[in-house]
Amino acid sequence: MKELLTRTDELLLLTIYRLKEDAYTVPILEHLEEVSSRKNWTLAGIYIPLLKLEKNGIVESYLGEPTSQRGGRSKRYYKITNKGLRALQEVKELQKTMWDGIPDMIYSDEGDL
Amino acid sequence: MDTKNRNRLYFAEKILRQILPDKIINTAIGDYEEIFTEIYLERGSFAAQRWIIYQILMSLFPFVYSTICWRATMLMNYLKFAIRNLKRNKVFSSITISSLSVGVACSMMIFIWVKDELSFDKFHKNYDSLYRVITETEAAGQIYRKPAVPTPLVVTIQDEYPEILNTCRFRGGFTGWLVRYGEKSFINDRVGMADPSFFEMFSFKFLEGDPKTALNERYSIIITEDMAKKYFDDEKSLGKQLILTGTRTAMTVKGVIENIPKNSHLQFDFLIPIENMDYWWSEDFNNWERMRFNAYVQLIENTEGAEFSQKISDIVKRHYPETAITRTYLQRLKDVHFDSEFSQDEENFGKGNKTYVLALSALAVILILIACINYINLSTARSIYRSKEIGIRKTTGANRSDIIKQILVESTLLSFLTIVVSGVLIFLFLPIFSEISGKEFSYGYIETLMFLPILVGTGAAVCLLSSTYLAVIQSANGPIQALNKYINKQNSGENSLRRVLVVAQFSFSILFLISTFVIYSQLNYINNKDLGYNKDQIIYFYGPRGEMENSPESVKNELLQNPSILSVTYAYPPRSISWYTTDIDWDGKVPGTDHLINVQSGDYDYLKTFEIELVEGRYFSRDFAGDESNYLLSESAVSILGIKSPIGKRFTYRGELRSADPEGRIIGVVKDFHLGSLHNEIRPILIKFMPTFPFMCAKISPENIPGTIEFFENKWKEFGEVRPFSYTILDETINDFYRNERKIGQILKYFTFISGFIAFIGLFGLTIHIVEHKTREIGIRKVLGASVREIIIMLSRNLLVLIVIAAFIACPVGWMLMNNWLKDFAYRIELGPGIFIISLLISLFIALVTISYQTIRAGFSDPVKSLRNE
Repeated sequence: MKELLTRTDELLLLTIYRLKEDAYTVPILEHLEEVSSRKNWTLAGIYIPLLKLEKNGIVESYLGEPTSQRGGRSKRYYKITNKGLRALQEVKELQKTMWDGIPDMIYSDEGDL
Repeated sequence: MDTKNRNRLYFAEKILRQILPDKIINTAIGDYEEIFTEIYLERGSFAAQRWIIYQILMSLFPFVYSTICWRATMLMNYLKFAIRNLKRNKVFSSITISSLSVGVACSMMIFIWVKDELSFDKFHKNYDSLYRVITETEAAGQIYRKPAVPTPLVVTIQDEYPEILNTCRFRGGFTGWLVRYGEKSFINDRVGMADPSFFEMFSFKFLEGDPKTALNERYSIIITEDMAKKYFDDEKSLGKQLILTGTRTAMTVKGVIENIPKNSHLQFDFLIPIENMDYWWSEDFNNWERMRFNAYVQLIENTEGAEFSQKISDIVKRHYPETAITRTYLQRLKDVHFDSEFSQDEENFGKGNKTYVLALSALAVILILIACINYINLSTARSIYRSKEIGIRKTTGANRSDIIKQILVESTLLSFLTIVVSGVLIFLFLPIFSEISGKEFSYGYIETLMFLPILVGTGAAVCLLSSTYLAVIQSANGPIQALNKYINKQNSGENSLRRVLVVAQFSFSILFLISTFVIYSQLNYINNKDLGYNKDQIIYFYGPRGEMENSPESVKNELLQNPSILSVTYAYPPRSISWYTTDIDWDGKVPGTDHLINVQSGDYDYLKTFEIELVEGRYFSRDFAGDESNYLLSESAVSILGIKSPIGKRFTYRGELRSADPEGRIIGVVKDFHLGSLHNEIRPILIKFMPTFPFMCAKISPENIPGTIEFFENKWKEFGEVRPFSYTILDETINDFYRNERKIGQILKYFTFISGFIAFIGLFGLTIHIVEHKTREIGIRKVLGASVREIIIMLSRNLLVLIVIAAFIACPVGWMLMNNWLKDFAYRIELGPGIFIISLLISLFIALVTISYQTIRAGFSDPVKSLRNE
């Protein structure tokens, strides 16, 4: 069975999509921290889903040029594959369908709390 | 970024390398470094560090979890197989585990013993800067060492040399002092005396009182915990007064110390300031002739002891040119326990012997080795049954490292079992071992020696090391080799390595057997050796003082009224060689020749009490006037001094007192007799008339000894003596000379038995294996008409040949070692072939018994059954 993307995957993919050519781990982390206003993102928390996504063919990675700022180590850039784009599209449509007809402010059925 | 932070970053990198997946590792570390640097530049090093620590902690779980999960599954599988294997081969597993744990347990106990021996005096804080002063004298070309120094030396030495931080005199006590508190009075031989600096130099732990001032006042006394309990029960001890008969004074308790550890060479129950001894030796404190005390010095830090020792070598001569002391030097506190063999036998009791420590350490290693050999032999032998399993693992994709892992898991299980079983064994046998070794090992005590970690370490190391060999061998085969037992080489029951190991095992066992035999024959020889006097039923003790002091002869007569007391004499028993002299002169002495002669003193009943044989002349007798100034010589003394027809020759001796004795004559010659232990040659002896009042010896009849002792006790009360009657048995004193040898003999006896046990159960296991392996061969031979006898011979021959080879290795080694050991004794047994032949026969016999059950069963087995097996 084809599995749906998780919320973390979705966030990661959208970040990569937005960052375009600049999508390596450090800006990804920074962007995530920025938009989600949560500070408890860890690098490890990014590597694991990225490894999984890469294994599933959702993203692909390539090595960039080494820079001195990184102790001479190269960056690993991520790029969404076609399969990944389709999966993202799918999630977006699913989301749209699911949210359709639900008011902007979500109330409890039993009225105000 | 500064180096400090760079280092921290490197450290973090190291951790991350362990946990991050290999694929992204380099880029990931780059990421970490980039962010770290950024935070560092923006918010400083603290924030950066906090960030990286948080990152590491958060990464640990997700990455580690996935790896561990898989490894754990495999581990569980290995463990399951290991347990199944142990269960399936019950005989082999129990042989392996029992020999390993017995081996480990024994060597651990030896280890405890060795560690205790090496721990002597280590508890002193100033262990490294403390020294004992040794003096050497020379007489007739022989050097005599003593741990005693002229009394004024310590003061002089401290004044003269700035290198010396502190000095202290010490003496361990005298026999038979009475210590009284109110109604309670006990005889104590351990009333030590020392200078006030004693507790500054030596770290004995005070429970009450102040170590700095404890000995400052003249009438103060320090007591041990046990003594405090004995005299004062639970009352507070400080300030109480104890009466000492030795100094005729009342002493105030100024401190209570913990009981002196057994591994201290300084031993005492009470300690008093040394100045109290002026009651006895008032003139000796400034006398360079007198050597009453041991002396210790503490050098200031960083002083080279050996160098400093050179400086003081002639110190006595400089201050007192007439001295007999030729050299003075320092001995490290470290060496005191092992280097205390002095010319006087009594000083040597309970002293360590480095050779024995080495020998026992070797024994410990060998025991473990023998146990390991069992493990290796049996498991390589059994690998024939394991190879199928390994083959299948290999065909299903296990590589060499997986097989090695599996074997390591098995050995971990094995070492766990070994550690548990040997722990239990040690727990059970420690009291027995304490008794054999003559030390007091409590469970609490051995824990302080880092016992548990070392037990676990040894157990694990032993199993892992021996399984390394297995791992290499078993994993080496390819799957086809492993599956096909006809190709598999090491399965052939008797490969050459196994033979070598068996020979090694039995060589050691036979070596131990030989050593035990020799030691016991030597001890037996010593026991039965004619010493030249009769040591049986002789007790020695202090006679009554007080009113009886003036009538020694009447004390004798009173005692002799009891028919059980056969003879009484005022004399020292011939238990030591401590009193010797060259200061003798006789008719016809060649001037300028020096002869060392030992002096024994006695009265009219000396020869009779000790049953020393008279060769010529007569003994001191009440019937002759003036016998007090006459002498007797032993045969060897006559021949060494070169006196011809000695009877009636004029002879004079100026003993230690240097007061001229009236000229006397030699009135008799006695047969040689041994002074002290048989480690020494027989010595020339001069017997001098000098009653050693109040010290006396008595020969008592072997019947009703308790009655006789009671008689003594009652007489003592009758005499109005304040001290209770207390005595020493000469036979025990003499036995004590060989205490070290006896102990080593006893330890060796048990460990010979144990090493034999391990070797023979190994042999037993191997026989089972060989019989099993050759089932078909036996079947075919039987079908073709082999008799039971031939089958048995076929199966046993090879193993017995191994034992004979082992014996041929063990015998010469044993001969060399034991000859060396025997050199310590001036009187010793000859090593004939007998002991070696007996050892070989015993080993062969036990080996035959061990393997015969299996071989006989195989011989009688039904060939139909064994052949149908295929």
